[in-house]
Amino acid sequence: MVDTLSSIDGTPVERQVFPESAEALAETMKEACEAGRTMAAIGGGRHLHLGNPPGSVNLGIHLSRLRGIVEYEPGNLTVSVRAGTTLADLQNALRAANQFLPLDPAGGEAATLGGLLAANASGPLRLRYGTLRDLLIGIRMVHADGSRTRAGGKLVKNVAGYDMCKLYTGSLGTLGFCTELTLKVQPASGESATLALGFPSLPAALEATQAILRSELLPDAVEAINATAYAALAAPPAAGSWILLVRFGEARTALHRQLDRTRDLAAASGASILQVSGDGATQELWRRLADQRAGNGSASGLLLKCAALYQSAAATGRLLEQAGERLQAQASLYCHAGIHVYHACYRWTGPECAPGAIQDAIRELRRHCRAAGGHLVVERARPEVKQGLDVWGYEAPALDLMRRIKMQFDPKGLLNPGRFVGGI
Amino acid sequence: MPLNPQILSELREIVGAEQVLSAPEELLAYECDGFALHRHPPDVVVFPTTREEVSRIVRLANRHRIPFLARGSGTGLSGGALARFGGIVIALTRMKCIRELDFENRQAVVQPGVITMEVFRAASPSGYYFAPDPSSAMVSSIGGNIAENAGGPHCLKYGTTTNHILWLEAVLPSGEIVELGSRAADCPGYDLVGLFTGSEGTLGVATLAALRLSRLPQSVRTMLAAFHSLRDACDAVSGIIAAGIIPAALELMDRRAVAAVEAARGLGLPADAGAIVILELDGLETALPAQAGLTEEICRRQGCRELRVAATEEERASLWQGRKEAFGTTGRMTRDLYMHDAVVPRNRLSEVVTSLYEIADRAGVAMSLLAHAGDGNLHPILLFDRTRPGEEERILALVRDMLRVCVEAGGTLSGEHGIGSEKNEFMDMLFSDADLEAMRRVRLAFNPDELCNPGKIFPSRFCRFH
Repeated sequence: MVDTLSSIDGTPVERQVFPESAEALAETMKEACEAGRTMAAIGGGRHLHLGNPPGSVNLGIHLSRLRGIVEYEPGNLTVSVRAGTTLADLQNALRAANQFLPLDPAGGEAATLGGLLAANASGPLRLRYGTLRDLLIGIRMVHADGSRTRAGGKLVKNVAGYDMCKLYTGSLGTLGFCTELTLKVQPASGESATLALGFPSLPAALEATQAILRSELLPDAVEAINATAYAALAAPPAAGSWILLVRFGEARTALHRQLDRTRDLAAASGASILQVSGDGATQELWRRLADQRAGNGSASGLLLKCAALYQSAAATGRLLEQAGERLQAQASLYCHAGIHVYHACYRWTGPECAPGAIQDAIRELRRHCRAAGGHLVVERARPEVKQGLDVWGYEAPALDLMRRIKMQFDPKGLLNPGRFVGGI
Repeated sequence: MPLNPQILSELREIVGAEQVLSAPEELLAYECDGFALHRHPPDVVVFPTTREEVSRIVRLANRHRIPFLARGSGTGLSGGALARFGGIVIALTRMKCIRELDFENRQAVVQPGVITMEVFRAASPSGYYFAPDPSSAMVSSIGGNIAENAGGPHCLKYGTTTNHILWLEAVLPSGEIVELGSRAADCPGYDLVGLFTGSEGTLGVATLAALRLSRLPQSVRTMLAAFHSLRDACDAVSGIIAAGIIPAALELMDRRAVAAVEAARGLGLPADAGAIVILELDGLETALPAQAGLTEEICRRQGCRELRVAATEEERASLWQGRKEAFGTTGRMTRDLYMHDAVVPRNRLSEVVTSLYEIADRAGVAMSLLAHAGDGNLHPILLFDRTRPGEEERILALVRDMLRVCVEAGGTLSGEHGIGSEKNEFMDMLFSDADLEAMRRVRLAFNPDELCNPGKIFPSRFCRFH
């Protein structure tokens, strides 16, 4: 939990408030709006590294006191929860009814639901369950002028009006601050297990992923990670340069059948089986992986997210590795292998590279990604690196549309100014 | 007011003379969609084949301040493709090309006029499919599915259209051509694909879409459970969901719906049951027996009197034929019908359904019920005769009462058909002015002049045309 905060991405937070209710939040925002004060919402502080440095933060609004479950209906598989609730607290409540929210963001479960929503955070489980946009079915918001709205409901199917839930998911607090979310939850999926497979190269690991996804198998997650990332899991030494972690969650008989079948596929593609983790070990392994993917809570280093299509996925991974060599940094690479989204964490044991060199490397990577139909987002970097660089790198014509939406919702530009795409 | 001949000649120039319909008798077919209670002919229908043509038509409409709207197969059920204020209908039926099947990224790139079933036909030999399956899949177009965020029986497990659209190319209401989202995952910026999907044609015209393809399940098991009473059937559905089983589909039909299908098709469904539930499990072959066992147990506990498991593909097809034709065959039993699309929480099915029957009984109106029950999505069908004096008004009052019951139970006005011109005046039941104002801000960003499909979704006081 973040008590106070002196700055966000190098921009000082001038004053901080802790509203106790959605009503109080609305009142605070109305006053700030009238006075023309800029505002940033702060939840668990787990995603404040995301975005361009804010232009100013006159008011840091902590939402950690808006917490708790509003309504949980296990029989409808839905839960309504206040935005300041941590994911850990929500999962604990759901566990009592043998249910869970299939969301495993980097940085683990200390994040609040509001923060996860703003950042559209997700993790390897998205392969099977989708991302937050697929789980969110209702929302309550407070907008820049203090007006309060709701959209959606507690129904798994709902087409009454525009799907505002989609608009707010991942909008980084630029259209309003979320006070409550209603989410679809899942029945707990029996037992889980993970196979760690060693491959001589990234293309081999990605090809094997294709074979798995072409087969009848239904993995919860398939992650390709490089040897550096695997070593940091404190796992036994890897026999290959890339490791595929294949996770399943099923009733026992089906689980064993899937593991056997995956072993066969792995053997056929020349992989070595490094490790098989049962239920408890699987939970622990993926929890550690989530922490590691977020840089283990360290604010230093560089974290890039890079999405590619399959045809250029291997080349993208290679470029991300080469960037590490060029910057003389240790590169841990994590790839959602089914959808080709990389997280690349660069760390320096000695002094960090000069900002200019890092920016050059990012620009070059971005050029390659774009040419192949992908994109690159700088998720975490020192303010000196972020300045003079657009962390989002989004310049498509639809940006105009996004600016018009922002103008409609926050004409004075008070909410998280400058943090989002195109200076929104 | 007839269209200025100058405009007609400009339209002919854009798409070719033979691709413009403007004679009153030709326009008749375009005066309504699947929601036949509201009718109004457009002034002209045009059939473009490229995004540039669509863009030029839209720019022309802007120049002359004429309303315009896109239309696919016209199977929508809420008046979404109704030209309420005349103007130009942009019929996308000639844009029906499947551009790309990319199995490595599990995506299909298709034009908006492609029929839903054609995607299945193209992808399924390779083991993939597009999951959303509206009952109209044989005729509905992908563009229409996107506009309405169409659902279908299998959306229970796999989600609705919005969960399966990755990228769009669209002509905005200004005529500008833009790409929304990206084919690679996690496009930065606002989720405009999610916002556009389900916007009922009011935010622009989609001209190309990347659809997510899913792997066909290894194994499918389809069952029919017959119950003495509708209440037992509803309780069984709630019980299955509460037990943590998410079937691929969980459909409910009441006695009258079964009777309609049986009278027309004679499929051998148990016509004397109070209600039947059609239940489909899919997934791993090794996982199905345990799930099926648990499901059967819950059904029996709820007083299920007969349980059939489809042993062959023909038997499975026959069960689904029964469900899919229930609406059409009910139509044969009446002059007119009105189908609802409300959704209620799944743990409140039987109490809401009971109230709906009470309302219909009290009014002396015959009602039959179909439901995507696993989603809580109810399709009560009211049977009536429009030619009887005052009957239409009476039915509309009944519709409002029924929707109110659903909303009070925590439900919503529509699960998959859309609001359109059918339920726009009911939106106040669900939303405050501030809620609607937020949606209006979105419309202002995309469609400030409201020329693009006017008079839909919003109550008329939020609309320029009314």
